[in-house]
Amino acid sequence: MNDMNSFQIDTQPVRTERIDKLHKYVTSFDYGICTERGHYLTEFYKDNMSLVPVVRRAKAIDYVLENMSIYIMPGSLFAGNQTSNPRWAPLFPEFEVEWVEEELLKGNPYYPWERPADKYTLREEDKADVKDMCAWWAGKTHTDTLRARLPKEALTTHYDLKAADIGTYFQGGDGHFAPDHQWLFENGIEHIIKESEKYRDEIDWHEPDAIKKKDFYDAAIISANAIIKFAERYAVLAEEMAAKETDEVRKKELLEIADTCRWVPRKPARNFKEALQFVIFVHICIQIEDNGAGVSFGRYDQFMYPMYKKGIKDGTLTRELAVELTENFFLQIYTCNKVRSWIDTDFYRGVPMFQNLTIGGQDPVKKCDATNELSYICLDATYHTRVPQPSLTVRFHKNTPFEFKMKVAEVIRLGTGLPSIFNDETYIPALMNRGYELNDAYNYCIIGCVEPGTAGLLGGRTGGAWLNCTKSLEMSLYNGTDPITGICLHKNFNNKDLSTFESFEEAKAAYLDQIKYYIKMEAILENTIDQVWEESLEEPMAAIFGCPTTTIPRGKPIKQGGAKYDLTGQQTIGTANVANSLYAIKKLIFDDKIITGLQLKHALETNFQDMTTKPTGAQIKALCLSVPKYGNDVDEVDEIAREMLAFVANELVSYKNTRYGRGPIGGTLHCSTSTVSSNTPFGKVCGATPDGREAFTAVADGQSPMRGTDIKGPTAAIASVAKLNNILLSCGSLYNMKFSPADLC
Amino acid sequence: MSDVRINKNDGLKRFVSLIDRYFAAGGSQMQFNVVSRKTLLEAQKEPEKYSNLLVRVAGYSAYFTQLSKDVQQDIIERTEEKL
Repeated sequence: MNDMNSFQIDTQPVRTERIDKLHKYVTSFDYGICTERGHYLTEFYKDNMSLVPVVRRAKAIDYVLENMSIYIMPGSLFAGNQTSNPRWAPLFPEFEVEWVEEELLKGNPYYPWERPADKYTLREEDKADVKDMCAWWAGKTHTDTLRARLPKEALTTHYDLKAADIGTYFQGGDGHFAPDHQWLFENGIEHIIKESEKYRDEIDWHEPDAIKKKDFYDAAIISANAIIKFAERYAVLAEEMAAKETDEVRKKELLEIADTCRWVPRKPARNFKEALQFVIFVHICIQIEDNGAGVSFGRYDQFMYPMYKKGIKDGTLTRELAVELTENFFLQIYTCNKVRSWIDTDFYRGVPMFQNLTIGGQDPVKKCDATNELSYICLDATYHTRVPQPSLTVRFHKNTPFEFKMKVAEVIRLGTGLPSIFNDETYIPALMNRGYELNDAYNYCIIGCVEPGTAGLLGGRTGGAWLNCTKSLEMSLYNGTDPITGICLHKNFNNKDLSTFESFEEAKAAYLDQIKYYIKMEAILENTIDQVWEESLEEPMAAIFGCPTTTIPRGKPIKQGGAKYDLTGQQTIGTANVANSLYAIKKLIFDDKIITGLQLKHALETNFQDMTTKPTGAQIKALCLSVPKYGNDVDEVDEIAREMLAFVANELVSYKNTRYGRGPIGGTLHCSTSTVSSNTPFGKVCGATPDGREAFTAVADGQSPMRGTDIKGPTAAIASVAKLNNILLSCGSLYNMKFSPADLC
Repeated sequence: MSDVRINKNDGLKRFVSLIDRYFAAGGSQMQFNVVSRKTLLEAQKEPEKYSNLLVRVAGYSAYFTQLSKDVQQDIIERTEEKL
């Protein structure tokens, strides 16, 4: 086994014939762009601009769901599709059309089908549709509103400096929540309609927000009816397919799908399969309503377990069938896709959807291990489906059974990157520190990449701007001026630069002052976007599926304060570069006095290329690299990393979000170290740094050590990363490690 | 997964211990790539043979051969830890 290079290549998945065929079918599709959603949405908006925004939105999505193409995949036991083909992405012109027009119609910088990576096809006959929607939406989109209303310095921060970047939320919606699937399939959508009607009838018309409440309930009822009608379309389709089907077994399956789609999501699910079909409809509709990423599932092994037990007990379900249904569900979910502008794609390489699914952890009431047979079934399903979605997450705690941990390790060893592992012992207190009640904190799931929140109780927004700490660091070395663009928004408070700092403390204080300023810019970007969403893009489906137990009684969608918990998250990038750079300044210039600040500044400005200086640029780079780095259990540099990240985390929480004081617990910004692939595009806008990093190369990911600089082995690396105040990272923590397969035998 | 159970799994046990150790020290989250440099370099050379190869990018997984060259490079250059 010592020459083992990849368990993925050297082992074969075990799948039923149905799952194998379905896997081949789903993965046979190239990524593409489907214009149907954009087409029908635009058609509706054209004639209905006078409607109240939340009602208009509900009716527009209803119109899309009534008219879009539907299909049932060969052999699938479930129905529900986001676009006309698996792995095709819908268009969302209401958010932004510039990039759609530039890229899809003009090929600037690339046609999506000619991109060097992350390609999407577009049918020739659909181009007229794209042209039409771009023409109608020009000047009316979310991005147009933001550009007109954001202060100039925030726009410069985003577009020119990239000290903070929030492009995703210009070009799309939020997502980033886990619906209350269990509540939904135990109550049925009809219940939402009845409740909304009851609350609407009880509105006290003298209340100052009475009309807003009525509008919301109207929208909620339209959206609830829309999903029921959508499911009924599949019932009709399944019957039509059954009528033509010659295979008797498949004919029966199709007729069962028809029965199921007439029952759920209208009524409460009666068994495991119906519950899954319910989940799929809710998920797909949310993915059609807006193009927010990170729509997650919550704790699958917990919310599906009552249905699993019931099925096993009454003999209608076996473990094998539950595995097959779960795998079928995974492949159904994998059909969803999203297309981003080429610039934004740089931050999201590899077409991620962040449809996270959590297993393991603890029981929220009994506070004991909650692992069950479904936890193992999910691990099997991930092992054998071998697709990147759903993104499997496992919660560990101090009493997680060893057997379960070994099984998780076996699946990790496969090398698909799934699952990732989360520690209850830090995540639970991190949430409580932001006001979560104990039981809710124990019931957290992972949303998107690494962000904790409780399904049904958190109002989205676990994602936000990227905070490019390396850029702030770089500007602090040049008295607040960005050496790449020459722009200066905020001079150093001491009016000094790297050549004139008189102590390490001055250099550090200059960085802290810069990052503080750019966190303020980030807060402006975050809150302005939320205000604009609230005005015209409030999402009724996200409200009634995301947080039904609070939005419906309160009569408020999420961005008006409809959720129990609501914090605005973000992603902090480059902690390792900041810590390593500050430590290099400390050691080389002030402690050991090997070079001067002026020499280092010149070396950075010339990207370590000037060979005429003494020492040469290359020698200075070698000196910079020789200074101990974060990730090797060296207290002095690890402490700088800890202090810098804690500063960002605490500074963020000092800013209120737009839901503060309007109902939810929380109501502030908060910090994560999630990266996605932003460390490469952020590297491209940052010049050389004192850690020895060359200009325009990738910065460090997450809170991981800078790649290649953690050289003392995994025990030292984890010791460094654990020294960070992970408990302050209430929006999530991210640490990448890489192992050789031969080592895990 | 019976194909891998025939091993003694000593490496796997060391791996679980490492996770335990990180979490006991106050770490929050971990995610892994388990793939040799050799495989990744081969996949770059002959992408059609490795079209199903999944890797961890950040908070998600993706097909390695579909990633842009700079992200592929980022993953190749990540430190390969020894247990």
